[in-house]
Order: sequence, then C-alpha cells, then structure tokens
Amino acid sequence: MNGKNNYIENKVQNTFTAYLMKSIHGVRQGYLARKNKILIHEDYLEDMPVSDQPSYRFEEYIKDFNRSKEQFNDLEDHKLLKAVMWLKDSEREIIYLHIFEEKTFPEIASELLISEAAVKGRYYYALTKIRNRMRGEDI
Amino acid sequence: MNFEELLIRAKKKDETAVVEIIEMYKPLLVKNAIVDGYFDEDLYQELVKELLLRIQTYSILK
Repeated sequence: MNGKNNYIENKVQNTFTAYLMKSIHGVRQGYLARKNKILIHEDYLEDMPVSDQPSYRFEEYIKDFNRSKEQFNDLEDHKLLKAVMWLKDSEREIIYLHIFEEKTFPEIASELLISEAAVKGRYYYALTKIRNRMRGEDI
Repeated sequence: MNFEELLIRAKKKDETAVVEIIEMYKPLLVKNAIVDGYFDEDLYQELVKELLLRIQTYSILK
C-alpha cells in the first residue's frame, strides 16, 4: 500500500524526469553535431607550419633575374638583345618563361597570378614592341 | 513538499522553486554535459536552458 502511494506521489516527478531526459538527449546531440561541424572547418594558427623564412626569398629572386639576364646575353644578335632589354621587366619575364623555360601560357598565368588572357596579351604585345623597335632601328 | 507542488510553483515562475528544481536535476545535467571526459560549460548552460523551457512546457496529467 505504501509502495503504491509512493509511486503515485512520484508519478509526476518520474514522468517529468523522463520527459526532461529525452529533450536533454536531443539538445546534447545537436550541440555536439554543431561543435563537430565547427571543428572540421577550423584551423588554428598554432597548427600551421612555422618558418622564419618568407616563402619567396629576395636572393632567389635576384638569382632568377640574373639567370634570365645571362640567357638573354647569349642571344647573338646585339640589336635584338638591346630591344629585349628595352622592354619592361614584366614583359621580359613573360618572354623568358615562355621561350627559355618553355612554359605554357596557363602555367605562366598561375605562376604570376594573372589571367591567361593577360599573359597572352602581354607576350604578343612585347613581341610587337620588339619587332617595331628592330624595324625602326633598321630604317 | 512533494514534487508536483514544487513544479506547479515553478511553472508560475516562483524563483525559489525553479532554483530548487535546477539543484535537484544538477547531477543529471552535469553528467550529460561531459564531453570526452571533460565538463563542457557551454553545453551545461544549454541543458539548464532546456530544463527551464521544459518546466514551462510540461503538462501535469491527472
């Protein structure tokens, strides 16, 4: 008799607890899913590879530049060399990459972070400039 | 005081009754707020919020 009374007295508490546990479970699942989603897309600065060196060092750039100059110096035609050296650095770089390193336009575009159309445009414009310059000196 | 009276008082937004219910269910909430062996304070707050909501939405059947 006492046990039955106890059950009736606790009935509200028991059903409330069951109700609460069910909803708490749902909240927990939702919270963990959200947290997991954030974790997947999160990169901590501490975890990134650390190096004191910048990705592209100035010495390397100078070396590249000198190398390109040397190869241009190998050109036998002195007039052509003069015309090439008369171009802008950016134009000369594209010509160097395309002719001596035999890189395609898309490769040059991805290397210099400009569009393929821009690379093509600058390349052919530079060639036209060289041609005009040489023709002009011929006359 | 039995639980039903306490719940009815809490439903009427009696602060002491609400606090008493939160204290009563604290172990359950803390247990559910543990993630990978660590207590997650944010999750615990979410669960307390849920408890407060459930006090209001629970309907006592006779």
